[in-house]
Amino acid sequence: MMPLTLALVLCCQETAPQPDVKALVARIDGKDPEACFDAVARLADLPASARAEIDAAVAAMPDELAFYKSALAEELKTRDRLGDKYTREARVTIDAKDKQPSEILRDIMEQSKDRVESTWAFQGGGGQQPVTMKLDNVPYLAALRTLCKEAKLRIYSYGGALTLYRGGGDGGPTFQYRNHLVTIDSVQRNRRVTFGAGEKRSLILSGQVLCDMRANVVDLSKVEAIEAVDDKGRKLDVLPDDKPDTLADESAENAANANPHLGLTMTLAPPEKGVEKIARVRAQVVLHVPRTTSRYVVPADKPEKASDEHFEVSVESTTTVHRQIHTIVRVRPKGDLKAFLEMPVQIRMKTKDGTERPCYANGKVAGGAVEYTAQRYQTAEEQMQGRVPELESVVIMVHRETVERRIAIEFRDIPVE
Amino acid sequence: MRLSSLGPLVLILVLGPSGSSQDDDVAKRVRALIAELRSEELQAAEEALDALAKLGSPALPALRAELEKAAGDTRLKIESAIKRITRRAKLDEVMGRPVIVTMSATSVPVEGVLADLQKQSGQPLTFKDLPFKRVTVAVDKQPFWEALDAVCKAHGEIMWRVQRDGVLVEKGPYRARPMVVQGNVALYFDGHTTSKTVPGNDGTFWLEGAVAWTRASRPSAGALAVAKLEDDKATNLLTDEDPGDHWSWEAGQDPDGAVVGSAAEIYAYVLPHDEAEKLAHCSGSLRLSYVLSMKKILAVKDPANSKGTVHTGGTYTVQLQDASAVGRDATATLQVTYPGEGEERMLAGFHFALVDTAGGSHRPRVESQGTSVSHDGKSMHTTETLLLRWKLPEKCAIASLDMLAPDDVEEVTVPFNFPGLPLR
Repeated sequence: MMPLTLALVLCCQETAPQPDVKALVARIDGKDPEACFDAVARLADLPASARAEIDAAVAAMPDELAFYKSALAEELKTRDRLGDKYTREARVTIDAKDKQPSEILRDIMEQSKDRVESTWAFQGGGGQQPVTMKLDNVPYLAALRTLCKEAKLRIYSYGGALTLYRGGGDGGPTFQYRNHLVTIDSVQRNRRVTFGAGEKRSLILSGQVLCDMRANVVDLSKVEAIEAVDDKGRKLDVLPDDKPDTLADESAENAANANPHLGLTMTLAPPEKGVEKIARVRAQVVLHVPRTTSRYVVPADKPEKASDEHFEVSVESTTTVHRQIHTIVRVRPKGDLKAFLEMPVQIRMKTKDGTERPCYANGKVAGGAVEYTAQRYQTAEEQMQGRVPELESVVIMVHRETVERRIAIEFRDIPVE
Repeated sequence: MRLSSLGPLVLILVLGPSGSSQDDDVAKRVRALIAELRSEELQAAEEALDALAKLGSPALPALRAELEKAAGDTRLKIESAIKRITRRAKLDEVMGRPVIVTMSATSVPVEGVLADLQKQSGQPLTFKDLPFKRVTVAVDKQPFWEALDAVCKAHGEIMWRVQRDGVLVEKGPYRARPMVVQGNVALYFDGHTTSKTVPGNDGTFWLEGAVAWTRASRPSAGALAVAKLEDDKATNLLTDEDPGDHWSWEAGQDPDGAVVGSAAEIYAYVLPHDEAEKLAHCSGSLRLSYVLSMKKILAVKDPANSKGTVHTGGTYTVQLQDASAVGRDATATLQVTYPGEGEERMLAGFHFALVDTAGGSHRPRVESQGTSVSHDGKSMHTTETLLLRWKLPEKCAIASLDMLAPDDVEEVTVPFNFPGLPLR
């Protein structure tokens, strides 16, 4: 039965009408960034046979669209590099009339193949007004954002899982692309005076990159702001991040942590008085995705060690406190400890109900090894059911090699007054 | 000029008298003062007691000998003198002997001067990208921090800053920072940041600095109490909700005593006036706590087989969630409950120790795993989950897990007053 099903799916994919490459490229006109990047995503998802046509159409794009051209070129390069691992964009169709938001979310979850978790927003039930929304073949994150807007919810990321929570107003400017949502959560005008060294003024945009479970992102390497223009059409300089150097080595203490750092900061020269908005900010977010990973599964209830030529991994203890499962994991590199500290580590807990969830884990260097204290929080669903699943095993992934995944982002009309 | 031609770089340490003749002199002085203790004039007796206490540790043998012979009120007074001396000695031990530097260098490469300062003071100095320059510097009986600052000032193109477990001297223009030094402790501020959130005009103003102490000094906790923070337009930056008491340091995670510095920041949620040029007032005190003695408040016998047990000591309740030992590595997870709603640093200065069957005591590294507050119908309680980790010196049999509380704590105050700090 399975081969037949597979064959049918493949058959459908082959016979599905292909979007018109020229029409998609024409949508990249620089007017609406979301429409432009939607076209970029759809072009990147086209089969390899369309590549020559894409290249020809892109070559004909005018120079003022160079930002989008390079974004598409980067996406095609990523696709070539990742091959089968390249995640195609999940698109959904929603036709909901006076439906509970939780039902619409379930629909989005099913169509997007569980890229979103059951959510805290509906914990306890009730209090949600029915929602009407109609969307045809849109990226699932666009559908999620529409649902949030209509039901006054916000999107939150916990350890690689997207979930929703209640309230929070409209939120800040948001940019969406494939598995990623990039938000600007705060804008600050900063003035730093260093005694004996004068003052520096800056405008700091802070936010985060929210990735779903299939984005496979282990870290945010950096954000490279490319261009910022105020509402009078004047360019704003991009400045280096200004960090006070007092006790700077404290950051080294966090080097061993196994949590993805997905916070985003862009520092710009402050706009002149009278400027109300930044008309646009363009940047590249550089993410790390795994290339070579050592994966170890260690039973939680046995004093066993997993070992290979690279690492020795052991689970030292586990305990449940406040409905959170805590575990101590030790990873001892057989090579250079310093090199290991550069490698992103992810820790997950597999529970006896068959689920595998990411953990929040802090690491400390101790005697040539790193000890991680990992915590798995209770999900909304578990809390509603009043249960804490039993830990079966701890999954430790050491990403020995990573590659950069560059994503172009663009925000428009960021208020600065 | 070779390094050996450096002028003398001397640590002046307070040394006690030595030799039997000096012992005899001290014993005579002790006996004379004890005679005065018996004076019927209250003031004379009190002055004698103060004088005995000031004799310090060298007087202890004679005082103990006299204690054997004394009775009644005199005995009580000798006991009081002994207690004051031993407490002072303990305080000197935890605060560290003053690191006082005297040095004189004429046209000597700065690396040589710093290396000698490092060698003689025993402080964890590291250097980075120091521009070559010969310096001339003379320091006479100054605290270590002021001597270090004087070397940087003499060079002009290097600057120092404290890090958690060391002091870094690096390339960069010398800046005369607002700094106060008292004994082995230095408090300085590097600058300040005003941050306004848009839209809206909420903002934060904060002074960024650090507290530094010499390696032998072991403060268990620290706080900055700000008395006055006001700009030259009479804007008071402190509010009732934010009276200016800012915690900066807690030693629970430093059983090895390697830490020599901590961030010290003063936050204000009222911003200076837009046209203010400087802070007219920035004053208060740094309060450092030094633990002189500990007392055991509870012990969990045979912790490996006591999971889930609950123990009470004083106002603290401890539940042992988990305990295990593999080879030299031991871990335990505790829930410590105490009265109050998230009282600031209720566990500051607390120690935990694994006591082995041979009587050895082993301090863990302590990590907080989270805090929750509950109400039992009568009062608020705070529960803190702590993860303790030990690296034992060798495999040993564990007798108990002890919780120790500070029994005698000395608070040392370092006042600061930095009027006229520039706001631009």
